Amino acid sequence: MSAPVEGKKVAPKSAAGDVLVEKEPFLAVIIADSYNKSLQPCTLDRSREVILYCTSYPQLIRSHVEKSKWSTLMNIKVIVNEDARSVGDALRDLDDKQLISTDFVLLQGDLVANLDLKSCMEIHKTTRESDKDAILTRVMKDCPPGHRTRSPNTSSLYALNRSTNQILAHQIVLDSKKVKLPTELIREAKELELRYDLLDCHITLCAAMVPSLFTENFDYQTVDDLVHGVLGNQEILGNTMHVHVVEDGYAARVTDFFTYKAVSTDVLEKWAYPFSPDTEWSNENGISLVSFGNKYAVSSKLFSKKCNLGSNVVIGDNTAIKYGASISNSVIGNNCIIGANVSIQNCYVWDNTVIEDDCSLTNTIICEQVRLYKNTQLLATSKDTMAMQNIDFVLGKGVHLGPNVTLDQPVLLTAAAMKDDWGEPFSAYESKGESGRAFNFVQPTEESSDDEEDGDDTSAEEDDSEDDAVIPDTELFYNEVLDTLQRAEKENISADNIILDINSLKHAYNIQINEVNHMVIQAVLQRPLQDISDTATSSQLLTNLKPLLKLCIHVFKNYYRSDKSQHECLLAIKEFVCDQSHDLYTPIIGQVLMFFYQNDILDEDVIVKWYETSLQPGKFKTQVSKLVEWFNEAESDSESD
Amino acid sequence: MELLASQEDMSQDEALRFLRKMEQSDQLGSFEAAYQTVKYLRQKISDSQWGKAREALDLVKEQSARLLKGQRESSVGNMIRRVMKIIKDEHFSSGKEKTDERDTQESLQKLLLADDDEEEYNQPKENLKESVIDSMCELLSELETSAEIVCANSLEHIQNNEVIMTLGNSRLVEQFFKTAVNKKRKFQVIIVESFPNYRGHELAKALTEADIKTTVVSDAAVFAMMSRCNKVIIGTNSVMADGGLKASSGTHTLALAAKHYSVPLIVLAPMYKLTPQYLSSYDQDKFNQTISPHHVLPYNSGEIINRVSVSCPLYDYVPPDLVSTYATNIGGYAPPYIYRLLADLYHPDDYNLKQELNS
Repeated sequence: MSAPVEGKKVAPKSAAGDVLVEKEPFLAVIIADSYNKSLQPCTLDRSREVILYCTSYPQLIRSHVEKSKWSTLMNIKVIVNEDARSVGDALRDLDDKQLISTDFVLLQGDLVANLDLKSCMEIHKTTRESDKDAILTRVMKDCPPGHRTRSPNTSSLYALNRSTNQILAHQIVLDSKKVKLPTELIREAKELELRYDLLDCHITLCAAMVPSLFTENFDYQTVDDLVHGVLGNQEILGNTMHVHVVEDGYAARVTDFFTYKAVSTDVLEKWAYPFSPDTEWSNENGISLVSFGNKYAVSSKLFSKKCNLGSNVVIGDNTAIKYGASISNSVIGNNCIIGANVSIQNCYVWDNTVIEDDCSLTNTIICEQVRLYKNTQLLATSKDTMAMQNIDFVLGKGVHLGPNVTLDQPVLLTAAAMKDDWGEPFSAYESKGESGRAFNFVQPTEESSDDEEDGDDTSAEEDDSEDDAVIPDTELFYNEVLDTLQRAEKENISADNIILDINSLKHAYNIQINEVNHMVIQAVLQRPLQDISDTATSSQLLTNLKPLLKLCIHVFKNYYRSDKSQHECLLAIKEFVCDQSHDLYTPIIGQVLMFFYQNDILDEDVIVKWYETSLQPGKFKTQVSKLVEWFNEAESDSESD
Repeated sequence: MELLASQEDMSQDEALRFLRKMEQSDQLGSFEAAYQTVKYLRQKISDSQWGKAREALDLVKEQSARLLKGQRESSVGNMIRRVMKIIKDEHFSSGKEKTDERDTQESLQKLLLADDDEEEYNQPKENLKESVIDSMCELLSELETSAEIVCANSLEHIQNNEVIMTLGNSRLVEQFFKTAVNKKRKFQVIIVESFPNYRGHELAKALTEADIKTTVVSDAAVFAMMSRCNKVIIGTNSVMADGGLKASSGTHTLALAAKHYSVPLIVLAPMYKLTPQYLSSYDQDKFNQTISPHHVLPYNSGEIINRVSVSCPLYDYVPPDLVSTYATNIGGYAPPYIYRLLADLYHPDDYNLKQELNS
């Protein structure tokens, strides 16, 4: 029970034989991934215990499903899709696979709940009967501000129709004290209820059409997006959504360290009963209640008589606690050693951890195989011991700290340096004591930028913000230009439209104008190479190239106006033919340049200057020299005339 | 072969479903749990191939591991013990003549030293399976009639114009009162409401519908009301080996108040509630079970949740000296006699099922 996170699914009741009305099967979709990186680094090495739709750790989930008793009770289908990045993606995929044909419950795997989903579903069905446009019901819990399961980041204001519980407006309230509501709302609604005390349980009862809504709107990532989208289009589409506030029962989702701690405390204090450490649901190694005050342990034979266990404590199997150690509000995993005079408060210590004598820990999550050497102090930032506190320290798997180290600022540590996509370590090495092995954990920055961007090209955006290297973007741009040219050839698109296309690509990938100049010509030269065979001759290439050049005359004129840009164009040609060794072009380069000259794209002076300054002696230069000679002849001709 | 396999799957499925149902609902009751357990074991025993008592016992043990896992209802374990006892009894009785011979010939010394039964159960016996299944059917009908038999004695316990106190809601107690009223006894009932689930209210509703004069009092008023009562009649979760009770929380207070005013405490206990377990001093807290404190302090109370610890224990242990009589389906007994009943119903080797499973 090192991580008291449990996915629960209420058993579906199959169609009962003695009932005449055929019941619809009870369908639940559980998304196994949270698509949320705020719990890193703990989750780096671990999967949640969940069922059904998964993106990461498919083997772990499969084996968990096979082992769990649920698999014999219900039909569990595990769908693995490693590309899904959000709830939206998952639902789009399900829609694609045509797996959902009835109303269903949408849950996420990090949910802890003991609600009766069946009765919630019945309420959803009744709503659907009275209001044909109702597409979803969100299950909420009444949870006033200041409550511990209210994560500080998720406070929402709901405007509801009081009699029907229909959602009229929804707004996420962060720090601002102001709320904006459309005035129509107040003018039109007969009974308006504004609620700030609702906690989203992340249980959503959806009509069968919900996945298709996600498919239609490819930028929806979360259910919240859907809610906002539907509210925005309410007048056009007329879809409505409702809220169901549950009185009894418990439901909360672990989304960050704050809620991890809150939910864990709730589980220990039995709020989530029957999901508590000593009941069958979560109990595989025989944890039982040892005394009042919610102290749980497998057996106390390795505990010193002089250790002091406070309330809300779980101690795993085969864990030793030495004399003078005091532990309260904490979960200790299996096979741990807690040294003498250690003080542990508000901590989550996972399996196989060693904490040596005289250490003192507060508000810490310690993953597996961590070792804290003597007299390591992790001190709380807040002095109010009664108030619900956030997690200050997170030590990833295998971190070593100490001896004689004191930390008093919140920090996330991992045992290995974080690496970016290029394998370059970017987290700083933190020397934490003589025997220390710890690196600062840096949250990948992509998370924050996502939310504001309109989904359209998020993949490119993410790449952009993740690493400053421009290379992939230019490559992408180059390929896109190639595609544009191919389309232009096939569909005979006008030059103006090609320019428009390239310009919009330029903005999409944030490409500098000189790079555009560089790449447009290269793309044009590249294009015919894609169509001809390896054994083709230069003359074949030329015949292929000519129509494209003609098509692009205006494009070139648009980009190569100034002398400077023309020079860049020539440099790009040289680079393309010589440096990237497209030798087929060498014999015909004269004709190509001639074409450019004759169509007033490239200026004679520029070509000559380029010829004189930038070209090394070789076949290429010889080819160009013919053209330059012709220029000179023509010049002298005209002079003599 | 395939057909057989699928049948096997189906019955296992059903068993698990039944177990899950028992776990999910605290309301299912010990009778239903006991009845389903015996029915399930009977099906297992009749479906499987076995010839020797040892094989049948192993089968039951194997199933009991699954049945008992996470099981809070003690009657499941009790019924497993009963079935094991039946198998052992039938084994010996079917070879009656031989056993008698041995009994007369062997000395006390020999009986003590013989590492008897393990070997003995490997002896094949004729018609063992049939007789075991017959006995299990008898057990089932005993279970079915047990409540009825307990209630049949209601007139002996309830006299005219008596005031009777009870706590919470027990279906057996409800039936007991109704039987008495049907036989024209006139009496009054004071019901302790039993915070925080208020099961007492349910009972009050049921009794008033049966025209029984009913008063509901709060848990705190037990002592005040006790002085005007003639009798206390309660149900229980289980009867422990020492004659004590594991009953819903508040019962200990009630029993102490009854003792103080010398009001007799009658416990309605059909025999499937009798368990060979007893409370030892070192696992006081394991004995109990705490559930969600939502009804004590609502979860949405806000910040106070962070600052207080709320607990909601389900059970009380009531020591045997506070109980006057057990009204069972095989007659009325005083607490000191319980050990004798235990020896009749269960084989001493089966008292500790968990230990058996581990070894």
